Amino acid sequence: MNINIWFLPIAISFGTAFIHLIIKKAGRNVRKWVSLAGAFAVLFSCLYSMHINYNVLSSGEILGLLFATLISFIGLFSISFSQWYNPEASFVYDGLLFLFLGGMLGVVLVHSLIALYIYWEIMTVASFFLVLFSDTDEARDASLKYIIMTGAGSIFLIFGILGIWLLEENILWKHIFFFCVLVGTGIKAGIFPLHTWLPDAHPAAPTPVSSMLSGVMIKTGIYTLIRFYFVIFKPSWSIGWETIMMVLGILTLLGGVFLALIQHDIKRLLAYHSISQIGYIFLGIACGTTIGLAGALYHTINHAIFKSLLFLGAGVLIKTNSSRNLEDYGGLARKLPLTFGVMMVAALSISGIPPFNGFVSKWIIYQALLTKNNGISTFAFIAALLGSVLTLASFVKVLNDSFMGVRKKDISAEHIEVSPFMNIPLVLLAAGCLLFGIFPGFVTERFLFPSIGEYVLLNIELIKMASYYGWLAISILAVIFITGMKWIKRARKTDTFFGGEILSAEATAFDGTHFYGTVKDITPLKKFYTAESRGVMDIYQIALMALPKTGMLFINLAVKAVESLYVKGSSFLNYWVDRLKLLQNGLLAKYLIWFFAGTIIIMEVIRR
Amino acid sequence: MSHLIILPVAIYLGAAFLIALLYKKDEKLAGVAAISFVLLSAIASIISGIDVFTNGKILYFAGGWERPLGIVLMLDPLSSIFHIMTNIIAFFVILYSTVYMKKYTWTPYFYTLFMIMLAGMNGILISMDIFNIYVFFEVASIASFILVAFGLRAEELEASMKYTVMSFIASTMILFAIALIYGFTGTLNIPAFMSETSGLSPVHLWFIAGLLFSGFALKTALVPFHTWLPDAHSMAPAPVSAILSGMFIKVVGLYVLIRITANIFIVLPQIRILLLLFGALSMVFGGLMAYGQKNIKRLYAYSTISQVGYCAVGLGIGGYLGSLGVLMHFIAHALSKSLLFLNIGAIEYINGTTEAEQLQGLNDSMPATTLFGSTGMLGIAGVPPMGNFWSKLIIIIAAVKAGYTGIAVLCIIVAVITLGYFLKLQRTVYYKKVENPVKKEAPKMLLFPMGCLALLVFISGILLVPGIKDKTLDKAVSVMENFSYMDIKIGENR
Repeated sequence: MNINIWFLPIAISFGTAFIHLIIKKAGRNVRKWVSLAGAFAVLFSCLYSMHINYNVLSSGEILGLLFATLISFIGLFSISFSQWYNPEASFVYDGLLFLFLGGMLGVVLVHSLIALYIYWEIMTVASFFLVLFSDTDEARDASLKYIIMTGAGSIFLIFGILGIWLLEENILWKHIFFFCVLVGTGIKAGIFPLHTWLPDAHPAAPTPVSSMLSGVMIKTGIYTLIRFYFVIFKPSWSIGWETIMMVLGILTLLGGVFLALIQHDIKRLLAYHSISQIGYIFLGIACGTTIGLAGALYHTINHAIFKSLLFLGAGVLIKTNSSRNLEDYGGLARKLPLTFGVMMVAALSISGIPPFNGFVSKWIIYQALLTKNNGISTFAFIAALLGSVLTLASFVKVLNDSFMGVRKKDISAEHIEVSPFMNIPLVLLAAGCLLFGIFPGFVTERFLFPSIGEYVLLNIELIKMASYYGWLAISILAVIFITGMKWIKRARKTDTFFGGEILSAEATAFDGTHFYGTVKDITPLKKFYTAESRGVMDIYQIALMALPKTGMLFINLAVKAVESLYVKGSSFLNYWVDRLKLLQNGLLAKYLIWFFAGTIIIMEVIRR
Repeated sequence: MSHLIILPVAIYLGAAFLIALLYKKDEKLAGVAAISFVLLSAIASIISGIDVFTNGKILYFAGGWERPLGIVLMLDPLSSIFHIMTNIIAFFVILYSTVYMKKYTWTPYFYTLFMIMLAGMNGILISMDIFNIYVFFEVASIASFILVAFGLRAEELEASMKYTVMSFIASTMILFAIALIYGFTGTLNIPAFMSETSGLSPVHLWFIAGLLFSGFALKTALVPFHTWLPDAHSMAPAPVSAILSGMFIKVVGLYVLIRITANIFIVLPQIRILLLLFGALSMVFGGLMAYGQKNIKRLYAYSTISQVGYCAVGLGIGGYLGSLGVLMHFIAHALSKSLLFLNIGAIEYINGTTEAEQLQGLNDSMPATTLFGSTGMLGIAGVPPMGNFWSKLIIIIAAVKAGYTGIAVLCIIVAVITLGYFLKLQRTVYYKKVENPVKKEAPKMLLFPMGCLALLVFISGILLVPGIKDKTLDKAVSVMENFSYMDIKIGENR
C-alpha cells in the first residue's frame, strides 16, 4: 500500500496537467470542471493514503503526507478560486497550475533526495512560468529575479545533497554542506536576507498563484530544511548553527513586518507578512526542541491557511477594484460583507489573536523560546511579541483602508461575490482558521506528534492551554456582545460635526496609508527604509551590480595571467631549448660520449 | 592454425625476394604485389591475434624440432598486440608509399627493403630465443639503415651513417651480452635462461642486464641514447619515418625492454628505476627540444622521443595501471605518430618543404590534410576523446598511486609543453590566414591511409571500454604483470 503515498497524488496532478494539454481546444466550461475534479482527486488521494497508511508510516512519511494534504487543500481552494478570478485563462495556465501542484507534492512525498531535487526543479520552473504569466514588464522583471535567485538556491541545494551523499563524515564539510542546504532552502522559504524575490514575485503573479506560492510553496523550503535539520543533521549537532538560525529568524520576522507596515500595494504587503511569518517558523525550528518543531509545524499549517485566505481575499479586492493599491479601496464592507468577514478572521489569525489559529501556534513557539531559555531565545521571544503587535497594526491599516471609510469608486456588479467558486474556499479557509484555533489538542495529537516521531517528549497540556485562551476569548466576546447590544441600541447616533459645522463623510475619512507613512520618519527606522528602498539590502541587486564588475576583474586578471605566463613561459623555454640544442650538435663522437655516459649510468644504477 | 604465426615472416621474406627478382622493372606491379603481401600478413596476424586472445598463447616448433634443440616461436597476448599493430600500420604505410615513392627511383628496391624490415620486426615478436631476437633485430636494423638513406642526398647519408654506427655499437653490446649468457648458462632459450639466472653470480647478472638494457635503450631512443633518432627519422622518406617512428622503435626497442623488465630480469628491480630515470629525462628533453625545432619532421622526431619517455615511465612504474598505460600509450602513439609523419609527407609532396616557416595557412589549400594532421597533433598532445589522453591519464594516476608524485607532475608539465608546441605549429602551418589560397589537395591515395589512421586515432580510446579491455589489453597486461615461463611446458603445443 506504500506506493499510494508518493505515487497517487503526484500522478494525478501530472495527469491532470496532461489532460489539459489534450483538451486544449475544449471550452472554458469543460476545463473548469476538469481542473476541479483533478484538484479534488489529488486531495482525496492524499486523504486516502493518510487514512489507510496512518498506522504503518514512519514519522518522516507522515510529515510528508501532512504537507501533501496541506498542499492539496490549498491547491484545491486556489484552483477553485482561479475559476472565478481568471475565467479567460488559457489551457497553459491550468496545466501549469497542476504541474506546479505536482512538483510541490513530489518534493514533500518522495523518499530520495535526488528525486526531491528533481521535483524541486519542476516546481521552480512551473512557478516561474506562472509568475511570468501576465507577461507585463513587472512580471518579466519579477520572474527573472525569481528564477535567478531560486536557481542559485537550487545550485546550493544540490551541492548540499551531493555533499551529504558523498562526504557525510567530515565535520568541516558537514558545516559547509549545512550552509549550502540552509541557503538553498532559505531562498525558497524567504529567509532574510535571501527573501528579496518574494515581494516582487507575489504581486506579479496571478492571485491564486500568489496564494499557492505564499501559502505552500515557500513551505516546501521549510519542509526540506526540517528534513535536513532534524533527520540528517541532528538538531543538537552544532550550537553555532542554532544561534545563527535564531538570529536569522529574528531578522526575518522583524524585517518582514517593518517593511510590511509601509506598503501600499496589498499583495506586496501580504508578501512581506509571509516573510515575517516564516521568521516565526524559523524561530521554532531553530529551537531544535520538540516543542519548537511542533510550533513550527503548527504555524506552517496555520500560515498556509490564513495566508492563502488573505491572498484570496486580496484577490477579490483586486478584481473588484482593478487595482492593487490600498489607497484606491475604501468602504467596501457593505458591498463585500463576506470578504470583509473572512479578511477580518484572517487578519486576527495572522496577528495571533485568540481564538484563532495564529494565536495557538505562536503560543507554542513562545513556549518553545521560553523553555529554551538562553539569551538569544529570550531576545527572540521579545522580538516575536513585537512582531505580533506590529502585524496587528499593519492589518488594522489594511482592514481600515479597504473596508472602512468612504467608498472612493463604485465597483461593477458582476464582480461582486456571487460565484461559489470563490465563496466556498473563502468560507472554508476562515472556518479552518477558527477550528485550528479552538481544537489545538486534537491537531497536535493526531497529526503533529506522529510526524515529529521520536521527539515526542512534550507536555500536551501546554498546547491545550492555548485553546483555553481561545474559549476564554470567545466567552468574553460573547459577554461583550450580549451586554454591548443593549448599549449599542441605547447609544445616540448623530452626524459628525466640528465647530458647529457638519462635516461630510469624505472630510472625516481617515486614510490609513498616510498615517502609517509617518512610520517611515521615525529616526532609527528611517535609515532602514531608505536603505531598503535603495536596494542596499537586496542581495539580488548587489549581485547584479557586483557580478559584471567582478567578472570583468576576473577575466582581466585571467587574461593577464595567461598572457604573462605565455610570454614568460615561452621565453623561458626558448632560453633553455637554445642551451639544450648545443648538446645535440651533430658530431658523431659526441653522440658516442652520450651513449657511453648512459651505459655507465645504467651499470652504476643496476649494480646497487 | 599455429602455422599462421610464422606466416607474416615467411610472407615478408618471400615477398622481398619476389619483388626484387620479378618486378624490378615494373614499379606499379611491385607496388600492387607489396600491398597484397602486407595485406595478407596483416590478415594472418589478426587471425592469429584473435586465436591468441581467445585461447592464450600459441607455440610453434620450427621444423618440428622440439626444445631444447629446435627453434621455438611463440605468440602471446603482449606480442600479439605489437604484431597486429605492426602489420596494420605497415599496410597503411605501404598504401601511402605506392604514390609517395614515385618521386624516388628504384622503388622496387624500396619495397624489397621494406619487406625485409617488416620481416625482421615480425620475427622479433614471435621469437622466444634471445639469439633469434638478435638476428631478426639485425635484419630489421640493416634494412632500416638503407631505407633511411634511400634518397641518397648528403644529409640523408650522414644521418644513416650516424644511425648505423650508433646502432652497431648497440648491437655489439647486445651480442656481447648474448655471448655472456651463452657462456654462463649454456642456453639462449629465454625460459631456459630464466631458470638458470638464480645460478649466476649477481655481478654477471647485472652486467648482462646492463649491456642488454643499454643496447635496447638505444633502439628505443631513450635519452641519452637518442642521439641518432632526430637525424634518422627526419631524413628518411615519409613512409619510412612513419613506420620507424610509429612501430620500429617500439618493436625493436620498447617491446624487448618490456620483455627484459617484466619477464626476463624480474630479479632486478633496479631496471625499473633506470626506466623511470631515462623515461623522465626523455620526456622532458624530447619535449623541450621539440619546442625549439623549426623543421616539422625533426619536431615530430623529438616528439617521438618525448612520448616514448612516457612509455618508459609507465613501464618503470609497473603494476596494473602502469602496464596498461604503457600498452595504451604505445598503441595511441603508434597510430598518431605514423599519421603525423604521413601527413608531413603529404605536405612535402605538394609543397616541397618541411620547414615550418615556409609553410603557412595550409587549411585553405589542403583542408583534408589539415584535418587529419590536426587530429594527429591533438591526439599526441592528449586532448580528451583521443586514446593518448586516457593513456597519459592512466600513467599519471599510476605514478601518483605508486608514490612517484614528482614523475606525475613532470608528466603533466610535459603534456602541457606538448600541447604548446603542437598548437604553435598548428597556428602558423595550418590555420594562419593567407592571401589568395590556391586549393592543392594531396592525391587521394595519400589521403586515404591518413584518413583511416585519423579515424583510428580518434576512436582508439575505445580499447579502454571495459568489455573490450578485458578481452585485449588486460590479457597483455597480465603477461607483463605475472608471467612465468614455467607454464610453457616442454612438448606443449599451445
